[in-house]
Amino acid sequence: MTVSNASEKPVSHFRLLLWLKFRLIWGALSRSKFSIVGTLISALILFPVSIGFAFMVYHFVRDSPSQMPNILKDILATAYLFWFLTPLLGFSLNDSYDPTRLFVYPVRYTTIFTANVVGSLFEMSTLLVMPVLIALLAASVSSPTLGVAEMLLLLLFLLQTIAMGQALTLALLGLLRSRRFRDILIVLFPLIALARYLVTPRNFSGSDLYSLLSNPAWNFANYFPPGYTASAIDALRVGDWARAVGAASLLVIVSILTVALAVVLLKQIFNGERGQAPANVKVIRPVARRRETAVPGRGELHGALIPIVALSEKEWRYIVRDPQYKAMGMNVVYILGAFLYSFSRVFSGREMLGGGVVESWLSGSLHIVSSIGISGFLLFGMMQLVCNVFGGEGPAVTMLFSFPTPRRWFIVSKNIVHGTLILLVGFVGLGVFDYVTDGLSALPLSFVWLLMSTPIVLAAGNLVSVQFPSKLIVRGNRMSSGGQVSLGTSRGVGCGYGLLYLCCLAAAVIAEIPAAAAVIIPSVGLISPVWYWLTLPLGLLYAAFCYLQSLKLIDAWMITKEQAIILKLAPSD
Amino acid sequence: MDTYSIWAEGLTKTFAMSGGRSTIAVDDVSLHVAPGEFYGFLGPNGAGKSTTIKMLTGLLRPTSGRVVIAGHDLAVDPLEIKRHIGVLPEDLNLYERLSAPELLLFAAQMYGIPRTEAQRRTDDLLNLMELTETGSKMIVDFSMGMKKKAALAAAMIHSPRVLFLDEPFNGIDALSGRAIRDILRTMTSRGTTVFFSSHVMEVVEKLCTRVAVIANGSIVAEGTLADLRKQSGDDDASLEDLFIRLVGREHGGEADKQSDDLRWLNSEAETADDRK
Ligand SMILES: Nc1ncnc2c1ncn2[C@@H]1O[C@H](COP(=O)(O)OP(=O)(O)OP(=O)(O)O)[C@@H](O)[C@H]1O
Ligand SMILES: [Mg+2]
Repeated sequence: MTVSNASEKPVSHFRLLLWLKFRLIWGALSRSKFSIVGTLISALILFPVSIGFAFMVYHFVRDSPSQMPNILKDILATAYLFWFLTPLLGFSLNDSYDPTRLFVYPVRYTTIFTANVVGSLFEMSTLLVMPVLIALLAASVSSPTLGVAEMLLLLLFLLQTIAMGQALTLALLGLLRSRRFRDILIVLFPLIALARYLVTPRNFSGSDLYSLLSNPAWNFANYFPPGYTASAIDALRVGDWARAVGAASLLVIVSILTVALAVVLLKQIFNGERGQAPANVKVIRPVARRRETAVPGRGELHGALIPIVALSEKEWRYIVRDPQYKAMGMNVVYILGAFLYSFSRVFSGREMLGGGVVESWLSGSLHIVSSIGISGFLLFGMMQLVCNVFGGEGPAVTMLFSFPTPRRWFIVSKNIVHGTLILLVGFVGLGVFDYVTDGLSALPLSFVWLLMSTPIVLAAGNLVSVQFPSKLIVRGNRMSSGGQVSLGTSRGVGCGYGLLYLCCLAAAVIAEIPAAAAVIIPSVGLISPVWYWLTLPLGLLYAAFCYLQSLKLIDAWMITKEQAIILKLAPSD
Repeated sequence: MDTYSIWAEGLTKTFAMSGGRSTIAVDDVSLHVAPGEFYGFLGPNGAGKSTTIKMLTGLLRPTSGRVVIAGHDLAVDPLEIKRHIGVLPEDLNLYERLSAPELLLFAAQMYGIPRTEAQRRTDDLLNLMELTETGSKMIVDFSMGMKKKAALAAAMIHSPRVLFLDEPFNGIDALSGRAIRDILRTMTSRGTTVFFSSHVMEVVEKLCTRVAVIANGSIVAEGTLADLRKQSGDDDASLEDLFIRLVGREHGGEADKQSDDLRWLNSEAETADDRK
């Protein structure tokens, strides 16, 4: 211990916290090959996009310098809006250390907060914004001194933006600490996301660019930091020093206020933790009679059935109670809504084609083909469930694997519940689709298709589940089965698994070709529909064969994979 | 070895660490526990107790070594073993979105116990553990001790032949602690084997017929309390004394090595006092 060595200066808290932050970011990134690949892929996609956009901005500002104040304000406002909205959606653009864990140390709240904000400057989300800001300055700045001043202003703006986002996260964190609130919010987040999607303007054409840039709607930004920053920079250029200083001081004041607000929030969280009600006093009651119980007869006929029923019941309870499944369910509803909307447009367009050969062919098979398409997209929304059957278990997987039940029954009972869910959602989805598009006659065939395709998808998902188990990730938040949201999100991992599930779906699609053929070929008139009596049973047989084969493979894999699954879902550190 | 409830030879577990290094958490451990024994498994933090229990219960694959429980080889027939054992893991890992009755009912049925019988056992155990009043409250919202009691109940609901309990009495109140101890005693008197790790020497001293002490992954002493006393040559020593002697030796220092090194701890406290 060197504590007593008075001549040596202690490392400042600020530097320690910065170190902690970088260490955590690096730790989250390098934890698994999935997170590394995921982060790499998103960097490879996002940075070229960001730099490309920066080039566009650069040339645009070069060509029409008069637009510069507008562009600046609009871009800053957009960034600000992004940092404001993402915490509301349950994501965070910047990874944070859990501030509440630092309360035990004699660190000032201000230091905890500001170190986090400064550290966030070096995260991917922030780095992605930089090229555009640099391009803006590079295209329009007239002197080096002015350039430095503007850089400083933009830096302050970035810090203020990150601080605002973090303060917002803190405000939500207070709510997130209560389980019930968390449960509700997890369901609400996707709804907010949905709302955001719906208000995003589509069919945007380039000619509207100028009017968009100077749209009065942007003026709301004048009352917020993006407005102050843009105004200060603009004032610097025209030499209006009074306005420049005024706007810059406004930015400084708001930044200080944000930090102050965050500190108040931190204090409140700290106090809230302490001020919890004492454990309720227990009424002492005499221990009731104990009865010795016999070991159940081993030869019981329905012995094998009992665990399957128990497991399915448990799985169903979890789907009803665990908010992570509700969030997933919202995804499905969202996808269903989007596709019903677009498909029904296709069909209303078709009516304008008028009668003819094409028309009659379309009415015969387009329904069934689009039913197949829709069911595919529905499945995509449920891939997290299907491809990671053990994910929802969380650490409780330890308990699961301590039971003497043959491992295939775990998978089968989960498949029973998930399959029922898929069929239900599919039946409702396709039913609504066929009703809306006036094709109710195709309904029975669509249902048979669902019956056929579900086991195949479940089979593919089972294989992935056993080989690549992972914790359930819901909307960027990593959750344990207890429902704790960890603050440090791991987008990299999420991206890696997303890719994996996409591959799984692709593999399932390939495996579905024979089943799809059984449904489609007689419908398009290549052979008579009478053949359905042969193709449909064959298709169902094929689906059953695929499913049973997957179970066989899993029996073999489970012997070696069981330990890996436990370690993945219930890490012992 | 078929006459033993727990028979393990040469159990070793090596964990790979970052940077290509590895740590030996458990090193060539052998255990022989007879039916009906109340077997205490002691050791300082990080000695390898939990790792050993995980290997004995099939939750962690040993790097090498062989485990035979109730006459079945763990490597050959793990499911048959799981039928006969009950496990209370160190970090519980319960289905926290179920209520206590639901969890117990679920666990019982997973062992193939029919519904009505499962319901009866659930009621009895809830009574024993003083958990009847939790009703439909989910386990997420339980206190730490309540969670542990629920896990304990789930581990014994199929009246297992061998019970593995990793620190069962941590965080359990005195009332329930007494009830649990009584029931465990009754169970061992009828032939159930209890293998448990604990840091509470008084409990171990009171309950255990035999103990093993593990330090740095190896067994440093094994036997009845009388055996251990004889080994150390001190007939009146308490288990705590024996433990500290055994483990202290293993760690290569005396128990009061701190007196010199830790002087700053007191002086710092004094300066803190002065400041007031
Ligand atoms: N999954 C793991 N990966 C790496 N090392 C591990 C892992 N699990 C345990 N260890 C290491 O193995 C050693 C023994 O750990 P174990 O949990 O068995 O100790 P313990 O005796 O149960 O301690 P305690 O009394 O604190 O519960 C420790 O050094 C620990 O760091
Ligand atoms: Mg332990």
